[in-house]
Amino acid sequence: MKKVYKITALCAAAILAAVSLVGCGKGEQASTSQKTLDYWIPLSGSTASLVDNLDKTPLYQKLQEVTGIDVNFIHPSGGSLSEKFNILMASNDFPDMIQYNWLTYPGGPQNAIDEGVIIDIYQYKDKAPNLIKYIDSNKEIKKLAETNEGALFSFPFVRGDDSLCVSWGMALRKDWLDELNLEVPETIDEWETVLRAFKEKKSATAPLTITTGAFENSQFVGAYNTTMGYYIGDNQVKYGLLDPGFKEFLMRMNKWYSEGLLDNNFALLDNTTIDANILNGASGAAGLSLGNGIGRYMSSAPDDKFDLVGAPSPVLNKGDVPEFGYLQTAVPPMTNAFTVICADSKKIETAMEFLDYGYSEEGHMLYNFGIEGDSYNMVDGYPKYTDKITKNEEGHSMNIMLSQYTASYSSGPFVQDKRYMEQYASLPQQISAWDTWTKTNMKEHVLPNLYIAADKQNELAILDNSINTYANEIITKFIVGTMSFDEYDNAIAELKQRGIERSLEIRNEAYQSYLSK
Amino acid sequence: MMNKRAARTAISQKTKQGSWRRDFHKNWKLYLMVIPVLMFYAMFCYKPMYGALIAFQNFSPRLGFWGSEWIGFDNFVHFFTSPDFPKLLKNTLTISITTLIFGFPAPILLALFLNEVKNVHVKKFVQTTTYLPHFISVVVVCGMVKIFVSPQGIIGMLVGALTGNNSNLLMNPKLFLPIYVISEIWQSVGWDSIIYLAALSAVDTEQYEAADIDGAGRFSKIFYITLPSIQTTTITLFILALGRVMNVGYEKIMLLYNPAIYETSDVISTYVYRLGFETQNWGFSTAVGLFNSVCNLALIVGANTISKKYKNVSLW
Repeated sequence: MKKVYKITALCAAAILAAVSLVGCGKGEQASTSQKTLDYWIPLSGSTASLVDNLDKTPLYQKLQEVTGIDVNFIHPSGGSLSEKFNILMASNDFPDMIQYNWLTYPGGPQNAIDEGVIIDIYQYKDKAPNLIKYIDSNKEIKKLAETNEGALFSFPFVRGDDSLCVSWGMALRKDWLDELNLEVPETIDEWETVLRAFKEKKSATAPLTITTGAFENSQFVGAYNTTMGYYIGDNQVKYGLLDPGFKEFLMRMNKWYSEGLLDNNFALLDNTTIDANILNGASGAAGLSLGNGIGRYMSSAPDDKFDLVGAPSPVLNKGDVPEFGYLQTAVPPMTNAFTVICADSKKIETAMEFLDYGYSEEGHMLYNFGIEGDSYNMVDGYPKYTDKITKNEEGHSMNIMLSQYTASYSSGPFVQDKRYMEQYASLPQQISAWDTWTKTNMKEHVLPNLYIAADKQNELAILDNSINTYANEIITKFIVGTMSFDEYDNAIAELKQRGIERSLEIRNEAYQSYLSK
Repeated sequence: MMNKRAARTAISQKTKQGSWRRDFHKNWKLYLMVIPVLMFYAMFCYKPMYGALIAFQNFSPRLGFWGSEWIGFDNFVHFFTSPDFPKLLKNTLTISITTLIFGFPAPILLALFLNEVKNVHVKKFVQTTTYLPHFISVVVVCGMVKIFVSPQGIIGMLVGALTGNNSNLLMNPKLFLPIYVISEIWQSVGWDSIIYLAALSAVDTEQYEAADIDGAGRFSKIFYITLPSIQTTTITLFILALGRVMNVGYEKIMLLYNPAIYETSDVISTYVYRLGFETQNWGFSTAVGLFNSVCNLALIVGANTISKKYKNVSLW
């Protein structure tokens, strides 16, 4: 009997010890030196193609060297980023700094401050002289980066020039256009002619390969004086589907879809398929970004003839300047755009110092161009990327080299420099497309970063989920033709029943607060 | 395990008082073995259960369980009055019940077939090919399905040639259900048949010999000997399957669906996923998940009661 108890007791003790050890794991990690910061930051695909940790990139090695601050990078691995972020939030065990799109935090960034997740940078004003100086001298940036309550929740990523807010647009196969003796299409009718010619004479199976993402970026739908989703018109927030033009747009897309001009897989397209469509000649037109689209395709062109040209956002009448197009805000609501400091951090001041460096003059050059004499040289006052970046000997693309030496190719806590893009988009095709895409009046319509009042966030989240799902569903179904246009009015009524008007009301309140900032 | 427990219960009923200590003394090794299992359930199944209470909260991880605001049944009211609720419930039930109707008998039929086939090579070939999909990750399976049904895919081309409609099959709301159910069967039929094959191997061969003498044909033997012999296994598995009716796996649907077919493919679990992980509405998604679990529990208890009453087969 005694022996039994002994063994049981031993086992129980062993198990307890094992369990308590599991609990201890956390404690040990924290005991690193005073100057080491934990930095939760997503690793971009370009960076990851050469290294598995930012600590191994020349940019971040240099950053740690010049600031004298050691950083321990934590990269969320695999899976969807928002999922990883949510798990981090649920764990309640925060690093010192987090780089993420904090606009999506439940209740908004102000709520994150109120709940004690992150700090208001203004409370440590004197520790971030460079950022404060920049923000104070750029009122528009300040409006975009501050919450309605006037808190600065992050070290934001800023597009340093209007032209940097445009990096995406429609593009077509120039060699096909030339061969068929066609001009770059400007109006919807011209587009139709071109796409039909692609289909009939170039036997393209999916002449226009785009997803609804292109409509969210105002392409085609912009011709009907509206866009997909929320936008600013007549000084208030509006919703595209409620505009009369939207139905005409859908009817035209439905026509294109049934004629086979629009990719028959368009609701299921992913980037790999789009790549294949363009490079294999199944498609002659797509929505492309400057670098990762036009630049990448031109460098991996299947033959010498392959050529691309950027097209303006389509309009209805020849000669019109596009009212709508693709445009980001100067503080874009992107995943990597906001770097925050967690309120739990024991090293807030060190973190402030580290992040603030990006807004100093030297920091600006480092984040944008890398290391002088290595990745760039000053030529007549112009920071010129070296051949190591532009024509890498080991055959790495410029995008990949930039991702090791700079952060300007993506985002981070600094102001993006136009001179980066001038060199990154240096092919004639890129330069002309960039110029074409910039010519819209979208600045009047783009929705700024709205900070929704905390007590309405939850309501809006539920409304948004219901509305967005339904809107995506009906838009796709009208285009594919599984829903007939007789049902259009019912669909709009359903949208109203789902609370689109309430959603607009909440957004308009937030917009008014934005205007009065 | 089952036999041991039954035997133990029988003993304890005989001796009643004071028997537990004697039993423990006798079988202490077994009790020791069960400790890790109990701890596993306590830690990973029971301990997190209190978390279901956040269904009644406007939960924020930072404020924690004690700091978050209590909002009563608001989350449930939102869900039941949401315009999506009827669609979600209908799709969940349609997809899972159809899968049950067609997917449940499939492994039994396969097992019967394998049991009857005498050619070892055919048997091995069929077994290997039907088991294989089970070992492929669901992401890859869905990728394959997408390729098969695209206009350039083998099934897509076939359907296109027959109907003249050359669009992607996954963009037609009516076709989602068959695509889902057929791919589900394809993926699971081989693996699920193993348990029936095991049950079949336990059938007394003397019964077949006796039936042969009585002049029973192949189908009579299946109906009068084989099927009744595996009845207990079948009913037990059926009750367990019923308990999962409301749990349509979100991974597979998320990987296959798109806005064009939300109407027939959006189910409760995908909705919970979108709310919980994409909009971080923890309380709401927990409320929906809790509703789901309660329905499952009701189904399993109901089915078990019926089966206990009429067939005397019960899970507990």
